[in-house]
Amino acid sequence: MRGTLWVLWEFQLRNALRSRWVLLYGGGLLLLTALLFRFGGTAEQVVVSLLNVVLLLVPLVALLYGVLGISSAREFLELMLAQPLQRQELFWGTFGGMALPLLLLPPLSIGIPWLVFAGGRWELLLTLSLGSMVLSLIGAAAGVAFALRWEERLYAIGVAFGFWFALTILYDGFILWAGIALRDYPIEHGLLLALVLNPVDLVRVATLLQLDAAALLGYTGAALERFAGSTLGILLAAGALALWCVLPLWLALRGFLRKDF
Amino acid sequence: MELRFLGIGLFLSVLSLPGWARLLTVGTDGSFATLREALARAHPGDTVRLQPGIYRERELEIQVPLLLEGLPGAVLDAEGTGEILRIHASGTTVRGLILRRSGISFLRDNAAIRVENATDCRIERNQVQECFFGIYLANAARCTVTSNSILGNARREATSGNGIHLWHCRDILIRANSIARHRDGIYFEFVRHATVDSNHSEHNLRYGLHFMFSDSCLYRANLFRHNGAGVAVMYSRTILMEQNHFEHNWGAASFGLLLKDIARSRIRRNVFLSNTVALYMEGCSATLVDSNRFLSNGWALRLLASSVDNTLTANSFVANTIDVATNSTTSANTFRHNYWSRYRGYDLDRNGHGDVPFYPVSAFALVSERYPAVLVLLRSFLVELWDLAERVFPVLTPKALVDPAPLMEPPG
Amino acid sequence: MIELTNVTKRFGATEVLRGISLSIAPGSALAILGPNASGKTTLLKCMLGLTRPDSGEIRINGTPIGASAEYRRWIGYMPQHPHFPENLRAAEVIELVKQIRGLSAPVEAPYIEQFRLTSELHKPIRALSGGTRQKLSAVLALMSSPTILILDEPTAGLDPLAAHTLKTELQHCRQRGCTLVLTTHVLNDIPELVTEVVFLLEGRIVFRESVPQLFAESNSRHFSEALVHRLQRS
Repeated sequence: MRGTLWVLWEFQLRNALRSRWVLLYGGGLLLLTALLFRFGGTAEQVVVSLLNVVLLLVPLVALLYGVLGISSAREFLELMLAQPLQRQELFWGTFGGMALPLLLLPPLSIGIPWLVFAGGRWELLLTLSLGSMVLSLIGAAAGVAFALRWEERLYAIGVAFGFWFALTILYDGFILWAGIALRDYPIEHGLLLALVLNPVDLVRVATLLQLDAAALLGYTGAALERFAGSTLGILLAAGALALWCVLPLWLALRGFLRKDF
Repeated sequence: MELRFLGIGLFLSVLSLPGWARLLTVGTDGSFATLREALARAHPGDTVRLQPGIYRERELEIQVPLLLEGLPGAVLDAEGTGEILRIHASGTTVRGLILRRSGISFLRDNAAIRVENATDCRIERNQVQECFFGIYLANAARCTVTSNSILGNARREATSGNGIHLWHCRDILIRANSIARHRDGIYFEFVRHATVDSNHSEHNLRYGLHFMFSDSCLYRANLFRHNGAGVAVMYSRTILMEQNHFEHNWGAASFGLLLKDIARSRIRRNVFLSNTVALYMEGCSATLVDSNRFLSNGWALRLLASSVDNTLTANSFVANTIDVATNSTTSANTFRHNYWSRYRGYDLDRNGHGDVPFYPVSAFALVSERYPAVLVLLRSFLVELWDLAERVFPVLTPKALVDPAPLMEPPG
Repeated sequence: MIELTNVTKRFGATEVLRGISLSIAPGSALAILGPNASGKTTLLKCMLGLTRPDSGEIRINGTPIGASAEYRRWIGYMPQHPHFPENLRAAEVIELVKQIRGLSAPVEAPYIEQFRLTSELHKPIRALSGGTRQKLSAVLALMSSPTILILDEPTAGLDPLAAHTLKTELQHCRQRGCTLVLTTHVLNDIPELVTEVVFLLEGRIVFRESVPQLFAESNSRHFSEALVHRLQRS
């Protein structure tokens, strides 16, 4: 007999793959990437154009999917909760089944046109794929945690939008402010740390460092490149990302274990 | 036997008579085994011809005006020590040689060919390979350096020299040379009235072209590409630079063309493509920058407040990340009739000039020039949003610089 | 054997269950009655572990629930409003539950026939009517031959024929010795389905009575009358 988790994932995947949003989200990204390759040209140009789409759209979709997913997964959950399944098992089964298509869609929708148009610069595709997967995971886990914490769906959606806005815009606004207000201090290292602590910025900077745009970042860019190449930088970035993945997931799990259905 | 020796002796003595242009052949079939011997025997006006073969010689001196030419495959190899050829005689021509491996030294600028205290020399069609310095002119005048190929293997700045190096020269023509993999491709210091025409200078560690204190020089139709720091032009007046290509000079401190303390000069009809900073102007004055094309650069123009009375006109700025950055808010320079791909104005009277002025310094460009740390936000949503907002509401753009009548179509 | 001891549950300011103690013997059939919001559904969900009581203890066949989920293997459950993943087909939902429960024999086949679901099996859930979903829910609850059936409004939304089929199947289960706990608004179903009723009001048990006893006390032939009679007395 197969493991229960596999059963849950398989059936949820089947359910998800037949839904309209998968077609919309995956197909949209696929079409956009293909068009960019068709009319834009090189892998670098495509990545520059795709970057902000990925940085904005992917976390937003994941967050909303997390919030709405848990509300609509109630269908699935009520059915499953009456089965001989542990809550923990059910959480990983449900979350895994939800997150799996979300995680796989962006890399596939970007990767397939990339392959078809023989984009080259595979390390850029790798960065963009890993980045979008991490952002999807964080978004989905946070969305689920919000939906479990705030019963009212509209409220949870509001919180998700706020969270997204904070990560994508407010945070950078804060960096901008710090860069101006603290100009008399050696803030480069503080800024680098600030960039590492926000997953959206981290993915953006990791991509930029592989594009020739890195040369535009001047002294801070040079410091950034040195930092990104150092063991400390890599460890710090990996640690921050790991924490970002684990923390929302842990909150979601805790919420799920305590939840009354 | 003795007669034969006598005959040769007679022949040689005839050859060495002054006033006759003789041919001295060096090589296994020639009259001399080494170039050193031939040069020692040469008289003014002689031709010294090097047959194909490798001559392991160094510190050669030309003391009388002559023509030194190499047949294809004639190689002078210094084997990594010392200098190869020094010209002290005015009116000397050196052509067709392959010169290899002058020595790296921290004390002497060992060159492949050095012209020192001489005039009217011609250095043509030579190949300089893996030399410390390539062609070195010091205290020279009315010389031409044409169609040479100078290929180094520079790895670190400290252990590499310049491709073509001029010091205290005047009336020099440098044409159609190709220089690669040196420290600076072409280096001038204290040069007057030189013309640098149709050269290729690429993959040099530092600058493709680097000159200082060199007034009244002309740079035309050269290609400067993939150089570590691009081209730097400093402390000079009445320079004309036209139809040059500055391409792919990328790096944290790379410039297509860096101008520092340049006065009364003209920069026209050049193409700047994919440079970190295409044109950097610091302390420049009364210079006309016109009809240049700036394509896909990081910054097309960085204009520092110390630059005054410059005019920028008929240039086109297309697809640059930042068109113009400046650290000054009130500009003492004139922008007029340039083409900006970012411009969204209209031209109701159809005179080819937009009816609304264009402010080329975006808010982010201004802020990042003053506070470079914020550049880490490049390509972030916040900055893209800011740019978008400026396009929708032009009133948000700072009024640092203005092009009151931008072109609707790219010129030319 | 289902035993509840002093179970309480509050949602925010509302006390939904206020100290429920209830013991249900194996093989018995019990209906939980009461007005809307009296805590019936919450009580059922507590037995299933869907909802965690704030205090008190629930044991099923002697084991406190919560320690393990294994006890649910004995339970068949029909929720009040059955929801299934919208894009799966009915057959897939059945397959999913079978795989989770480790069932491989075609245990669902007789029930599918009984409820006339064969033609609906390959339609996606979103194309099924409410009644069909309720029938599917019944199949899912019954097919694993549970020893305890917990049914929240089982006949709601069913057409009379299907309701009849369900009642017949429940009778069969009872004959097998299955314990039956249900809620219903259809009072006339009660004598057919259960032998005992528990009446819940504002989270408290008002009374527990056997169905024959209720009829005997009221001299009425209609269950609703008998119930009203009993309520007036207490």
